[in-house]
Amino acid sequence: MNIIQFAANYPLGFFSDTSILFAFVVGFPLSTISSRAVLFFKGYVWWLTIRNLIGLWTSSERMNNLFLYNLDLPIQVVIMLFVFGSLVNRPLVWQVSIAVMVLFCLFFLVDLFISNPNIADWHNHRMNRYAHVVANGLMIILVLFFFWQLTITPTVPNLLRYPFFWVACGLLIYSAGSIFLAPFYYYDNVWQGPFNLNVLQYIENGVVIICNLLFGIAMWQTRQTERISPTNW
Amino acid sequence: MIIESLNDTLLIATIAMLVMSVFIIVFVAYYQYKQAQYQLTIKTIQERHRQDLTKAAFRGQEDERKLLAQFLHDDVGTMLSVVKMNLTQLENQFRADDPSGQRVRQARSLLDDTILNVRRVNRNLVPTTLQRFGLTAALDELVNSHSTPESVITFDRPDDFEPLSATIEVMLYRVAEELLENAVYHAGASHITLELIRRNNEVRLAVMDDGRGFDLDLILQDSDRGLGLRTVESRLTAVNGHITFDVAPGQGSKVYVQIPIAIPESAHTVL
Repeated sequence: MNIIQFAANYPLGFFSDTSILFAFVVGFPLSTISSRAVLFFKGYVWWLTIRNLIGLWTSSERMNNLFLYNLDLPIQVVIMLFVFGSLVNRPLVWQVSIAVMVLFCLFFLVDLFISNPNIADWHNHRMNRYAHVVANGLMIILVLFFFWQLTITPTVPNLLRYPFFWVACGLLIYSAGSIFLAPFYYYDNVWQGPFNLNVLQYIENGVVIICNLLFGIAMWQTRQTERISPTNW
Repeated sequence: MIIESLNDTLLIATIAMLVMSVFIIVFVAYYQYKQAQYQLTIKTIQERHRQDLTKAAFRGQEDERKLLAQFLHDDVGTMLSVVKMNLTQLENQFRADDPSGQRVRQARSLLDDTILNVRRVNRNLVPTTLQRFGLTAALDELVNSHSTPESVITFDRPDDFEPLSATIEVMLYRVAEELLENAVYHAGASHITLELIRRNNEVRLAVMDDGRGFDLDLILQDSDRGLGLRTVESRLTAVNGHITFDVAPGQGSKVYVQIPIAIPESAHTVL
């Protein structure tokens, strides 16, 4: 019942969180896993789904879910690096991806201390003030690199039927929409005084919904398409 | 202060999203363009590969012909000549009315026919006239060998026809041979004209006859027929040549062959 109340009070946030279910349901059949990249992408969608559902439940029950919020960012980045590493599937790209993963996780740890000087109180704070911006920048670079790779060997006959084109579009729109807003979003969440920037919620939720819908299209295409990759996915 | 800064940031974020959306549209268009280019490249590579295979096949065929001709001339021809010499000596030992002598004479006569046949086959295998005296002389010889009282063949060419590269000359000779055989033996033509001309950077060969003609589509669709025509097409592919048919059942046939003289360097290794 609480979750219904929560949905009624925060319809946009609720819809934004549940929109990932579209991609999850469309991509549910395990038989559609035709490559490592698809496997990682499905893992990514599963993680988003679990995160969102737990987030909704804990929010509606007024339970502290900052642990989930803090944990989310490195998991997302690591899985996406695995996805794109598998897509390009070249030793050098894999090495760079792993190096970026490690560097990002280290930066995340640094940010964790910067964002919360009183580390003993970590469960009351959002601890990724700068990591969000870096993660968004990283995703934009990753997507642009992937697009560049696609044009080098354009073997995909129909781009609109290529699942990872939609994944890349979703990520690009989400990252471009969020990268400049992340610091404000952080302050909006942690500020204790009279400071309410609801417009941020609209934009953030809007880009999330667009991104999730594009992920859903990607999942649908993984069911339609069999191994049409520029590399070896 | 923060609100003003946020407004600016919101504007930037909106512009960033718009730019990325436009970027995606442009990317899709650019990708389609690149993909079309890529497909064209793949097609060109496949075509080149097919040409290389054709060249290799014909080169192998010509090498085989040379080897066989050499064997016929050096081994079989020599042995037949020795046998003929022995038979002639044996024949001289018998009287004219001796039955055994008559059988030897018959054997020698058969041997003479065999030697002539071997020479003819040898000549067909390797056109020695072409190698020694050039294309026009070889085509003259070809026309003479195919001419019969029922099929009159005329050969038109300029007197000052300049020699071509060995590759093109052999190619044209083989094509003319195939087309003349078709006209004489399959079309049953009574008048056949062979034309050879050189225009700008290409050489043209035309074979026209008044035979029974044929349905080109039917011939090319039937895997059991038209092997010769397909071979001609394949040969011409190897030198970027082109063949055009103007044929219809009951109305004779006109076949035009065009070969660029400046053929790719790699094609010189065909023959």
